[in-house]
Order: sequence, then C-alpha cells, then structure tokens
Amino acid sequence: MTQLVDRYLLYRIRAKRDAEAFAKIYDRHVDIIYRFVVFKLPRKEDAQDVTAEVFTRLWQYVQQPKAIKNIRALLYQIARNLVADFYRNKEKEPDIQEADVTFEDETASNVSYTDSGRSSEIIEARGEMSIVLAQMEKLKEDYRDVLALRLIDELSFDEIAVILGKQVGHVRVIYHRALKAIKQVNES
Amino acid sequence: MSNYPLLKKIREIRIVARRTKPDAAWVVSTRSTLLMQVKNSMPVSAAQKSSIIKEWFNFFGPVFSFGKWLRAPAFSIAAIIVALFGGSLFSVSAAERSLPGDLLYSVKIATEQAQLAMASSPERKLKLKTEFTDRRVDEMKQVVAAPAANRGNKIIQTAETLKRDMRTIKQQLGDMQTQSSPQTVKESAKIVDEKTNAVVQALQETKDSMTLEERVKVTEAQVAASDTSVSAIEVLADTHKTDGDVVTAQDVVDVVKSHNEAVAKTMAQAVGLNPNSVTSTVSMPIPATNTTMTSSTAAVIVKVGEAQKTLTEADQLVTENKIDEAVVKIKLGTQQAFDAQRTVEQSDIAQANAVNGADAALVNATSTGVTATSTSSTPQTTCPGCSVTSTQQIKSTSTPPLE
Repeated sequence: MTQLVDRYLLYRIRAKRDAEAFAKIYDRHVDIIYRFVVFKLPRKEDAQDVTAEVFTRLWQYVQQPKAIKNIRALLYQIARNLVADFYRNKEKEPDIQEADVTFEDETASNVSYTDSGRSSEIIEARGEMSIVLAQMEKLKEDYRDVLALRLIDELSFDEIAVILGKQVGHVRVIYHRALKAIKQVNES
Repeated sequence: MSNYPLLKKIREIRIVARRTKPDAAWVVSTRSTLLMQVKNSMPVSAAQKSSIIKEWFNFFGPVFSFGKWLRAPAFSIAAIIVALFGGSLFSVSAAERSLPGDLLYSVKIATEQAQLAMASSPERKLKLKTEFTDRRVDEMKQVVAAPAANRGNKIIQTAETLKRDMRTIKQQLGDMQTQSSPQTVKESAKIVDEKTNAVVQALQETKDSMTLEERVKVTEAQVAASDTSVSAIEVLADTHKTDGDVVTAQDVVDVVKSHNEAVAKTMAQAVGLNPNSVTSTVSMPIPATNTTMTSSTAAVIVKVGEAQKTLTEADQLVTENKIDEAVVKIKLGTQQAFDAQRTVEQSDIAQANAVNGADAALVNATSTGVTATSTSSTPQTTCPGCSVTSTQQIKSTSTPPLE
C-alpha cells in the first residue's frame, strides 16, 4: 500500500508535473530518513543537511527518465551513500573537529550544543550506537549494513536488497550469518 | 534474540530511534525550500503522451505484474490444486466420452474402478457397477453404429468387459446376501434383475448389424447377463424364504415373470419369430410342407419350443408358490433359450462357410412336422432373425400349441 501511494505520487510528478506530489513524498519519508542519518552522523546539523540533500538528490533522480520501483528504498540508498560521502569528505578535511568524525570521541559539550529537546536521550542512544558499532566493527561491512537496516530501521529484506544492490535471497543469508557472527562476538 | 547483549542494545537504539523526530521548524523550512526548487526545475511543457502511458504503466504495472503473480505462493498452490483436481476433471470428462480402443478408454475404466473403490457400502458398489454396465451397453451401441476400422475387435472387447462385469455383479450380489439387511438385498436384487434383463434386450438390438463371429461373442455376454439375472431371482427367492415379510411371494412372482418375458422376447427376436406369439399365446408357427428349411432351423424350433415350455412351467410353479422348483425351471429355461440362439448362430456360421466353399451340401432333414432343405444359394451373413425370415421363410400353416 505504501508503495502504491508512492508510485501514484511519482506518476503525478512525472505525468502531471505536480510539484505538490513531490512535497507529499517528502512529508511521507522525511522522518525515517532523518532517523536513519541522525545516528550515523556526529551532529544534528549534519543530519539535517544530509536529509535535505537526500531529497534534492531524489528530485534529480525523478527528473531522469528512470524507472523507480521503490521510493523508500531509493531514499535509503541515497542517504547511505551521502553518509559515506560525508565521512569521506571529512577525512579529506582534517582541520575539522575530529570529534565530529567518530562516535567514540564525541564530547558531551558538542552534543549538547547541537542536539536540543531530546538531546540526552539521543546522546545516550549515540553512546550505545558507538558501542554497538565498535562491536560491529569486528563484523564484515555487509553484516553491519544488513543488521542495522533490518534491526534499527526495520526495513524489509526487499528494501534492503534494493539499498545494498543485492538479491533478496542473498540479503537474507547475510542477515542470518550476521546474527550468528554476533553470537560469536558475544561469546568471545 | 534479546539474549545477546549486542542485539539488546540494538533494540534499545531502535526504541530511541522511533521516538526521534526532526525539528518541526526545520522540516517545514526544508519543505518549502525543496518545493521551490522543484517548482523552479519542473519542466514547463506538458508531459508527452507516450511518457504518460509509460508512467501510467509504471504505476499500475506492478499491480498486474504477471511474472511476480506467477511466482507468488498463493498462485502456485492454486495451480497445483487445479492440476490435481481440475485437470483430472477435464481429462475424465473427455474420457467419459471415449469408446473401447480409444486412448482415454483406460482412463474411463480406471475412473470407474476408483469410484467403485471409494463406494461406501456393498449396495452402493453394486448400484455403481450396474450403472457402469449400462455404459458398456451404450458403448456397444456406439461401436456398432460407427464404421471404425477395427470395429470387430472393439465389439469383442466390449462384450468381454460386459461378461466380466456381469460375473462381478453376480459375485457382489452373493456377498451382499450374507452381509446386508434383507431390505437392501431385495432392492439390490431387483435392480440387478431389471438391469440385466435390459442389458440382454439392448444387446439383442445391437446384433442386427454384426458379423456372425461378433454375434457369438455378444451372445456370450447375454448369457452372462441372463445368468446374473437368474442369480438375482435366486437371491430374492432365498430372502423370501428367510424374510417373507420383506420379500413377499408377489415380489418373486413379479421378477420371475419379467425375467421369463425378457428371455422369451430375446429368444424370439434371435430366431426371427414374432415376440408376442412366444410369450402370450405360447404358440409356435409351423412351416408349411412346401417351405424349404435347414435341419438346424428345425432343431432351433424344437429348442425354442422346449425353452418356452420350461419357462411357462416356471411361471406356473412360481404362481403356485413352488419357488425352488420354479427357480430350477427358470435356470433350465434360460439355458434352453440361449441354446436355441446359439444353434441359430452356429447354423448361420456353418451355412456361411458352406457358401464360401461354393459347395453347398444338400441336406434333407425331417423332424416334427418340419421339412427342411438346404438353401445355400443365398449367402447368410446377416442376423439369424433376418436369415430365418428372409431366406428360409418359416411360414406357418397352422399354429398348434407347443405345450
């Protein structure tokens, strides 16, 4: 059903030149994309920038005559690439605070400055996330991605397959291997 | 899953993540910025028709995506069900119309066997079997009517099947007698008697356009049917003795009479006599002295006379409530009647052979008031009834009673 609505909005944009339809797509997905990036990026502003950029990229994509099967999966795919780009760019600019780059070194002052409202909760979650990621570091990159998309973002295997550019069956296999690997990590 | 600390932590993060929302003000401002961007870069010209159709298809396409639908488990299950049940329905219905020798005929027979195997009670089984014999008779009619290349084989095959079926019915009826209630036995025996008589009659009608060899085979099937009919009468008679309140004397009288009538009628048709003269007036046309006739024809007439006599006696006995004796007479009478038929057929075969050899032997035979001479000038390849009436011309000068 979700996909059907998305497909309809896409049809409105492409066939009827309806700008408002794109705004609707934004309304439907902005929260999840923000959530997806907010734990992966050091600052709230970064998350906002990346989220806005995700939708700009989507608009560029929509303008091209390419078939889009699943908008949500496409958004995650773009977001994932932008997060990767973010860190790649940071590495190229070493003068920017190192604290921004990694979770582990994140300082309380930094967080309190950027996150307002639910800041304490998010700080805590980020702390947890950093531990989780530290443990996950021991896992393969594929395992990390699939586990995060499946367990934190609660995406379907179909969507994860689109985001990671893999077959659905392969994603399932990776997921189950990742769970096994986690068990081993914990035992060790 | 929560047993693993890492997964537990992931779950905690998820809970926090669910509650995390971007600032409302930021969302609104980004939205308006984005909308402005979109409006500015939106193509002014209307979309081309082709692209509209493409988009329409992109929107609805996946809904109707046949490939995906085809792979869906629900569809596969439905397909399996259709293949299992629907498929068999279609093929069986095609098989229903098949005739002996057809590709699907074995399917038809197998279906019948399956139906029999699944029948809940012996009486249901018996009823089904009698229905199936009806089908065999229909098949026989169709086979005879159709000018197929191997018609002869098909007729023989059908006759054999009928013969076998009749024996099975007889056996089933015997089993039922020991297992089922008197009421059920009575009903089943009546059905069997009725059906077997009908089979005998129907087979007789198909004989007209058969060759001599085919006729002999069909007569065998008729004998089997008649035999089964006699068994049904026996069963009824036995049940009458044990459960007189269920099977009344009248019931036995009725079946005996109907059986005798059917046998007499069939016999009359077979030997080319007027059926009514056999059963009602019990009179035998005697040929005039100037009529030519073979010795076998004379023998047939004697046999017919004997059979008629026995059957009439059976009628008489059953009316007098001498059921055991009546049953014995019925058996004998039926046997005699078919003996007469066989004699006709055999003589026809002999005649046909004689004609084929172009060496017609003159045979003079005399028996009780009948003079017969060989009439080999005309080939005899049609039915015995026809042969008697058309070439040998049994013409009656007087009609003395046979009894």
